[in-house]
Amino acid sequence: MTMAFDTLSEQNDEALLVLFAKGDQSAARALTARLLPMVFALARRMLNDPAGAEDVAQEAMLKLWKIAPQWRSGDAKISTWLYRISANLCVDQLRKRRTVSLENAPEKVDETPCVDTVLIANDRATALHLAIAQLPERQQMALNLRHFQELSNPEIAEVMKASIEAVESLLSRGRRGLASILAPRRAEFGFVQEK
Amino acid sequence: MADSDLNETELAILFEEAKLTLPVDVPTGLTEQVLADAAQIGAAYAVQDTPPKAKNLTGFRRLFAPIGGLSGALALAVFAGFGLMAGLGDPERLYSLPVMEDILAVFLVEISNPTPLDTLEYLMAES
Repeated sequence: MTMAFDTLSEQNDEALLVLFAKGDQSAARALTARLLPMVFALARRMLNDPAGAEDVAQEAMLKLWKIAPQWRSGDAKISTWLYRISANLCVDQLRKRRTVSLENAPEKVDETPCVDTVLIANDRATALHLAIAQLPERQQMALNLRHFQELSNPEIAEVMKASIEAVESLLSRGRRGLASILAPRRAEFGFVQEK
Repeated sequence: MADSDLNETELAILFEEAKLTLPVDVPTGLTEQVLADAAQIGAAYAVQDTPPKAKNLTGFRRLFAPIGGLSGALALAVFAGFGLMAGLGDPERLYSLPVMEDILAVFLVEISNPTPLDTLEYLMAES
């Protein structure tokens, strides 16, 4: 059973997943076109690594295909569920990376801040991403979902399985952390020192 | 003088720039891999979802298929006949059936407020 792509594009995510669970491959194409960019963008920003982001996006979508027959209507929105899966996979990757980098750490510790060592001159976006990477995982996740995926605080709360107050706190602490990490680059960014 | 932390406006500017600078176009290879996964998993779902092929029924078999075929129709006819006999026949004759006597005893005479267990015990004692 296969429906025309145009017809499918009018269906919501849940209806498409039901069609896929009945073997409709065109529903998979429509869902991929709709959801993969969103998943990949989140992973790309959270990991700052295209190859890692591809792995996460593929795995998240694979989990979606596998859960299709068991999906119950009334559960979380598919996009919310997928964001949660992707964000958790990203956190797993970040933890693995941290373990690997600790295992391979040189004996003499380089105390130069990460932002300074890796920063491409005047690349404010890169500086921001590197600064975000230095924050605790849940703050990273909240900031990415809020500022790059443009989710509302209640949506982020649903993705992160946290209260709205907890999300507000994570965002607030995250922004304070970023402001502090990036402070030494203020002049380079062209921001005027506050008196 | 120590650098002061960035303020909310400055952070907002950085976020806006970052949103525009990092390309997040999905690589074609990734889309193909995701669709290949979907095809592999979806193929199994398609097999599960295929309804069993309907048999080519003809005549009475086809007519009675929704009520369980010829045996279903036969059972229906027997019970319908019994119902007609009971409804049109002499009620006294119906009450004279041995099993009716037991049932009526349970519900009308022997036991007040019978539970299923009471009924069972009574019928076993009677038999």
